[in-house]
Amino acid sequence: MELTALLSLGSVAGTTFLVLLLLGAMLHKLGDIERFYGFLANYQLLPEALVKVSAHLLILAEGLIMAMLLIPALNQLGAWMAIALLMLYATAITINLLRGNVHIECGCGGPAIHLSYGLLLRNLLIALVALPSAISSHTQLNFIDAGIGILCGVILCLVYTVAEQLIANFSHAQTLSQAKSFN
Amino acid sequence: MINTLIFVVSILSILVIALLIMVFAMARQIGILFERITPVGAMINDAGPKIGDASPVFNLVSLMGNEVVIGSKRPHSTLVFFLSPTCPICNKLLPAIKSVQSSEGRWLDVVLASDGEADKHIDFINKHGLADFPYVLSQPLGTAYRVSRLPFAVLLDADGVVRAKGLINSREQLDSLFNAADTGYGSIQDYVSQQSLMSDSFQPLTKRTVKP
Repeated sequence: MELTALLSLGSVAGTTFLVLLLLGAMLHKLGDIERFYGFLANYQLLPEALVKVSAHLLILAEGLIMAMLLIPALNQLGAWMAIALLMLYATAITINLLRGNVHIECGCGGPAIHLSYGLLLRNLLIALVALPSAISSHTQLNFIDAGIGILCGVILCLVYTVAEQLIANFSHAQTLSQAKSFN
Repeated sequence: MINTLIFVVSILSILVIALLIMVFAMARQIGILFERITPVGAMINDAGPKIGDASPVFNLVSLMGNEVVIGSKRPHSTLVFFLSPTCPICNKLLPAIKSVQSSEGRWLDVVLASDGEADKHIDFINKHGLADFPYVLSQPLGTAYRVSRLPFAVLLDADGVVRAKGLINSREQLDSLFNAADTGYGSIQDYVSQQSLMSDSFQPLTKRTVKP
């Protein structure tokens, strides 16, 4: 099996994963937009007047990138933009980590997670999964290959969901053991 | 041979997906358990008035111009709920606060407390329909209860004694404040440690009384 074939399979898997991830993130934000304004304001990166506008822009960007990923001709560009968005979020998290402002919720969708360096690693890993989609196109795939790629993407997404939940549990457990040592 | 391979891969894929879903369900259940057993008490700081102590008395004026007295003898118990317009979980809990006020109104008065500039809070009150609640801005109040993170709640009985307090992140935790007041245990951790103290009667006394 040659490298390009492998890359196209990885590209389909990465695209599927990104689309599901963006869909989840968007629904989470739209599901309670007031809450998302709050999360964004807590990052303390924007003047208050711009928080709502930026929140809408971010949701729009996620939707747009998702659509681009689904259009074959725009797939590669979409993957690059997804990576850019992930890096933007990572920068916002890094700034707050450096400020010591770690008690805010990440607002990433899924269970509540406070800011930590683990989140940076997570964004980096997602970007890594997106990389094959960004550097290769997947036009020459047959039906079975595409199906397998999508299947792998779905499995990746499931693994990601489990990992996210476990990280949230871990931070709960830490809080609990800290509380115990106080008493 | 190739058919066998396809068969095996398909079956394994289905199994992996099924297992992942099961692992997620279990992780989620553990998460829910954690959320339930880390109510109130998890964040109780020993600073500030202790459970069972009399609260300091505050005579404040609400944003609506009414007088609000916290901590003195009153006909009802008082729930002081510390919040801020920019705290997302506070916003999420507002419906719960409203329903607590209507369902527990016979014996409980809810007071919302915050600090900062008045105009932001007035916008917040108008936006979320909080005009029915006494809403006070007072930094000394937050300092007195050592409120470090929001949303935070303190439950005072009619005599102004602190019955329960703690960080509130969910409706369940709000309810657990009332449980704490009913049972006399400040938190689930408190309850567990009291129970284990009773059962561990063989434990050397010194070990029990030493506190960091």
